[in-house]
Amino acid sequence: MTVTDTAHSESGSKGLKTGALGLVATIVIGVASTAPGYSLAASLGFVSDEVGLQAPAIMWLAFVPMGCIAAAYFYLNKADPDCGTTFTWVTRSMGPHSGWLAGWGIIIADLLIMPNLAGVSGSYLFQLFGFDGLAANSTAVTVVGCAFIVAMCWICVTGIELSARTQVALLGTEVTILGIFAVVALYKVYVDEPAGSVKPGLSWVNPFEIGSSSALAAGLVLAVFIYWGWDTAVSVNEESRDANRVPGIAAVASTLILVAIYMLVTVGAQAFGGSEFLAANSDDALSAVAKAVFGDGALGTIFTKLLIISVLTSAAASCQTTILPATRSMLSMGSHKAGPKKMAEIHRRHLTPAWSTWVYGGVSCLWYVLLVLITENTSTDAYGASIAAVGISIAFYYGLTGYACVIYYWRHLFTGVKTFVLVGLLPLFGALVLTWILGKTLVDSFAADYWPGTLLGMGTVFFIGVVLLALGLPLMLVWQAREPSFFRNRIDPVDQRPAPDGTGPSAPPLGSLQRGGR
Amino acid sequence: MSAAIVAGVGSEGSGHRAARFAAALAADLGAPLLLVFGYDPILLGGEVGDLRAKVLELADRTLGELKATLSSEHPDLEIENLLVEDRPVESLVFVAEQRAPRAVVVGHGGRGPLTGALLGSVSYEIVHRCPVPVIVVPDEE
Repeated sequence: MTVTDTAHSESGSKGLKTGALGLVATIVIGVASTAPGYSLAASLGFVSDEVGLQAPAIMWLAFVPMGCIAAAYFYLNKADPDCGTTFTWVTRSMGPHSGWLAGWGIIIADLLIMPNLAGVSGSYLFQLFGFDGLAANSTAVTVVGCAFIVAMCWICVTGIELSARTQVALLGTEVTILGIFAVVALYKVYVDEPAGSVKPGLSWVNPFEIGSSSALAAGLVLAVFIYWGWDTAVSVNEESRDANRVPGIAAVASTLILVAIYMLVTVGAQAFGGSEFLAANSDDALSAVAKAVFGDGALGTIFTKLLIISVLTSAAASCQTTILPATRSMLSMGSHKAGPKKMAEIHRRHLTPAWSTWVYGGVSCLWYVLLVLITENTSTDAYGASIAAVGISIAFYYGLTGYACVIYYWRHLFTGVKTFVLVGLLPLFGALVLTWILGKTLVDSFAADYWPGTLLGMGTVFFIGVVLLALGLPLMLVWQAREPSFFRNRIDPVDQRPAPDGTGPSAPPLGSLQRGGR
Repeated sequence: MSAAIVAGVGSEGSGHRAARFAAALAADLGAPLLLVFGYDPILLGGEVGDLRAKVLELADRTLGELKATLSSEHPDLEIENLLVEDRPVESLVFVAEQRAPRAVVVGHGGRGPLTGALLGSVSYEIVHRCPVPVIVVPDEE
């Protein structure tokens, strides 16, 4: 237990920091932030559509770049644990313009996933109560989905947090049910051999069996998002009781849990239904297979409902872990004058960035309705494309994070093998892989024959992913004209950067080093 | 000097009636008053650095205002402010263990047993864990 000194206090209060998170809590945060149930429900069908029987291979392969970037998160967090994350770090290592665009990338990635989160929640809510007809009715799902977004924003604004025990119970149920589902599915494949089932083979986990590099990139751009949020287990290191051991063990444990669950469920679902079935039901592949696997009996119905509940609680957790980072980035941008001051306001009673949260929720609802309208009135599936577009923005800002880590700690990279690998090699490799996925997807998706159709002459995925990211550029210039001070920030001078192990000088507060002086 | 009375204070309004009660009690007993503000941001969703800094700044202001009000009501009362970076319950239990106060006073916002169990409730949890007597004061009449 350490006592910290808050000498700047105006009221004479003393500051104090008590003990912190244990191992289980850190693992729970990491796994819950990744939301395995929801991630599978949202991506399984689309991944099968792209890579067929090699879906399990994509599931583990996607972890590689994400795991590498988590190392960058871990070390950059030591230089500055600012909640602007990539926004702050890229500003420090590459300058304010790159930093601003990185912050925009975070907000856009979070915004792009909201319609899918809302849609899955709406559809699964109807299925939970047996209204399967309404679950297929897009107007009904959209209304409930928007209500879901509003409810989640309200939870984030009021700062309501489930107690630690409740979180463990919910996550435990989710992982157990997913495990039972996979085991029952595989058991039936071998014992009952239902129609359409395929026996698993080793080629399923071999990424080299994937037909083309375009299919590989398309699968990966969909799958990076299933590990999105996992870095939390690594970056809450400041909070952990034994900061040298807990984050490492928690990172390994949560990785094993996630990779195991993703592969097991993908193999089980694919063996039972075949990849064509998953692709044909891409909007709710998981519940579609679950109904077939568990059957219509009393026990089967209970398990199907439990799986649906797991996906719902997982979607709710995922919604929180989407809204919170987005609004925290907004808060950070606001307080560093990279955006309106209002974004940095804290609600006096709830102690949360309430204004940012409601603005974000409102824009999310508008974006969701817009996507549904486009999907209903044109031949393209804009709603489905949005999830691939999320991958584009994740690849964009996670890639930047990887490069930022290498640039920021450049001077220290060659001081030891461990530092070279963890701070240099892994982040760089992750960033290069993500850049490749990004580039390949952009080139492929620009073409009109790319799934799922075109919008204004461009591939829909390209249109949504690129147009929204590119919109940041004019916005940034407008903001710079109005409030230039953020853009005068200089990158951290080399002699004022801490070492990756946290020793040496501490990084100067962002905004203290500006060109031209003030 | 006799052992202090500790009051758990939250954001705007929350626990402030408890603090007023604690101030009156401390003044009667001739004991010092320790105002404790515990805060821990939701860790779900990653880094919280400057959110925490902003909240602590706000908490510091809240504590300062409260201290000024209570001092004007009880001119002789010795008041100390403490910001703790942890969940409110953990903060209060920690302070109770470290300082061995005479009693801990907390507010009660009216969360029932069920929501209390699901979401956690300071007043429900602290009575089971606090090593010294606990006094619960409803937030509003």
